[in-house]
Amino acid sequence: MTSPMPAPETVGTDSPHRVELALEADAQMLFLARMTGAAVAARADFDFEQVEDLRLAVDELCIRLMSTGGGTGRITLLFQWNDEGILDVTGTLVPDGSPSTDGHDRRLSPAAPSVELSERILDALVDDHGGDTIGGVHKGWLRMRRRERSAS
Amino acid sequence: MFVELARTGDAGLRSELIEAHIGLAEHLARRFVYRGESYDDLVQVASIAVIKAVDRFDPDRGVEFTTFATTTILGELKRHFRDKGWAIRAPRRLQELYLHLNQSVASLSQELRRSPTIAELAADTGTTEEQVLEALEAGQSYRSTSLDSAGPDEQGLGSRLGVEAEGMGVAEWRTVLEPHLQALPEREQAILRLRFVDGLTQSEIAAQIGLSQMHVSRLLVHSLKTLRESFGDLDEES
Repeated sequence: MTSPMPAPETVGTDSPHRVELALEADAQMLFLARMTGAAVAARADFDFEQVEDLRLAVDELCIRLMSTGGGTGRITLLFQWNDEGILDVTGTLVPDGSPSTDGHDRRLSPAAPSVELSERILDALVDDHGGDTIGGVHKGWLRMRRRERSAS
Repeated sequence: MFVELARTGDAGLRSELIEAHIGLAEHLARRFVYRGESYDDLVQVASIAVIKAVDRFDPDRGVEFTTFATTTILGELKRHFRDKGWAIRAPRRLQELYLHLNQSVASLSQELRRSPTIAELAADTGTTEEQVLEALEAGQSYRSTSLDSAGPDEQGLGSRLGVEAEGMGVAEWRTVLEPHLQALPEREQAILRLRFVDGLTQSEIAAQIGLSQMHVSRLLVHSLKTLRESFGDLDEES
């Protein structure tokens, strides 16, 4: 479910566990985001399948930020989780104002097919997600809850 | 001629039959040419498969030689990609651990009747959580034959999974993605639909299609990357 609410007001402000990662908005650097997401999910005791889903979701969040932001910049990811098994990821892209290396404006309208795809993917992977752009800063967030373990 | 070869074992006749079917090897090798291997190497693999097919063919079984040879050649080509499947050179220990994890996920899922945690996988494989996570990330660079759908055994998979059935669940999904989905093999189209339209989990998809959960995960990553490239969201390898 997508929400237009920006992340800081929506998720995880009192979570006891926090990890922050800042990286260049470059597809080649996204493995750092995926690995951090997977490591955090493992630390939050998520199962393998949810770890894999979160890895995909974090990738999607970053790609979405990069696509809607256009150009280049820096992405900051904040991972927060609590002992009840709620994990939030907040991503922020601050564009540096320079054009993208291919010379094209890559900002996407909310109705662009790629955005539709992204929405669909995040709907399937996480429990909740949203995003917004305020003052030229692009934000996106997602939330995942640890699955109950019924059998062992 | 095959009856004659089976009866006499004539070396000249054997060579003649092999040469007569090298064209089939070249034709089938061409289907794999965009997957990172040189055409000449693929023809060599396929040609060796022709030799095996000629030597193993039993004319009494009522199967056309070309049918038998096609299956043999495709099998050898797929095996070739499976054996050389690491698109990016990952350390051998990670390759081995990744393959070990594949088995571990399957066995633990069955034993526990749920998806295992990373800690449980580490314990089962005698490694650390950090090593498991590292291997899982490295595993996404593994390019296996699963990404291909060239084999006759996979024909009709789409129909079996309902890809070609009326509607994909969400009309706009189809409208938006249809032109881009065409770039994907039938099986990957099906997996995307099962995961993102039907809402099945990776393990449910794995059970339905007959693959391992990690295999499904890898196919999802590959499919999404291909789609993003198709949309122009990604310019670089990620």
